[in-house]
Amino acid sequence: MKGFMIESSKSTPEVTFDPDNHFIYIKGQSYPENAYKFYEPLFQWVDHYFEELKNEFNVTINFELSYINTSSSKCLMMLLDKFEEAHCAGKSLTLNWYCDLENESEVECAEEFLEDLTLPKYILQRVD
Amino acid sequence: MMKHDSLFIQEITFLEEAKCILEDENSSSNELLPMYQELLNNYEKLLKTSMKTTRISDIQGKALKTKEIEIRKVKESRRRLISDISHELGSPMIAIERFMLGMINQTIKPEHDCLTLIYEKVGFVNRLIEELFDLAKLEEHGTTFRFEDVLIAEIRGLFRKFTIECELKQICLTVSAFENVCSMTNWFVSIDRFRFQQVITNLIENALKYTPEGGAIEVRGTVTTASTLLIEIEDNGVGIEADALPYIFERFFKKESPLNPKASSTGLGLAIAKEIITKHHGVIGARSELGKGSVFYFSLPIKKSAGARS
Repeated sequence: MKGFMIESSKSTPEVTFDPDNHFIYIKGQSYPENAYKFYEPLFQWVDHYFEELKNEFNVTINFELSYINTSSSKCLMMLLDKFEEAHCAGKSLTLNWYCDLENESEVECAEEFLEDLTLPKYILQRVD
Repeated sequence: MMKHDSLFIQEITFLEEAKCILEDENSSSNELLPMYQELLNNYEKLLKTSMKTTRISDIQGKALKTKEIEIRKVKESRRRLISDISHELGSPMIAIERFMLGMINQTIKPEHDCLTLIYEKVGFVNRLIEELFDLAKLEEHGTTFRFEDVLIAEIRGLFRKFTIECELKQICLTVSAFENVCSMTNWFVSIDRFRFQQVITNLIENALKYTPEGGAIEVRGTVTTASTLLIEIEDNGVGIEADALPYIFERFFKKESPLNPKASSTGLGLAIAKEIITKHHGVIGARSELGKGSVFYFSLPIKKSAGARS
């Protein structure tokens, strides 16, 4: 399976999906004009990846998102749902959400995104 | 049970009522019931998503507001800085211009005193530019600090070099034994020597500027219970007015010394000292009583590492 990469822009995050190392990484700000258009290829890639993924591999997912607009939030929640479904189906995943732990809003936002997930998840200090 | 959210109270009430209807109808053989159930599940999911995105949007909005306030402060600070710099550079430059024009018009003779004054004004402008650049680098984290572990006992020795300068001004400098330090032979503070010297030079020179002949300056060091080294520099000089005290570490804050009114000051020394001590994870401050003297102090965190270098 081929990897998937998008460079960051002013309004969209950097995306790295590396199937060889079982690594998923999204970093930056997300406020594209059309959030679904940006995230749709990510959904497709993730669906396809989990279809092929064998249960013995551990997938590391790193999120580092400083600003997310409302429509991007919805798309991220859809992405998180896909991770949760994969976890419930027996895949091994670890989700790390990096933010500034001293920034109350960033931590609150991370908690809000992660609260309903049962997969292993951690809120960690971002390293600039 | 959904989180209570007054913004969605109507939708939540509707959902709960619909669930009650479903419970009541569960035993009936209505063929639409499975579809009703599915519709209800989707509605609940949609409502949860809406509530969550709303909460996230509110948090992001709050964060944006904080950023906006920060940006406004930076803009205000930049505006004030440009205004201060224009003023600080403008005054000596106007003086230089007038003297030069006087010499060109031959209304002023290019004599020693006049040329010395121009030379001093140019020197002041140069110093101001250098210090401004230094402060800007410190504030922008553009300066690399070369930290090294230095024995606390050694810190005391760094103040002795000011003895001669003080004697020349007939001011008695006492560097007292640091309290609670002698027994702690393996306690260190991590400092950048060059920057540390810059701070103590600034504080001692300040004390000298505001202390009359025959006065005294005392340097004390104490290890506090919070594992910090507290260094105090006390003088019995003219002191600082209570209303000026909160601003003395702000850039361009200047107070003419009644003892030495001609002494030029860029007003940046204490601002630079504050930045340097902050970079050392310490705190700097002052207390003073008008007519009795001032105490400038700063703290440095202590390291108790046996492997540290001296």
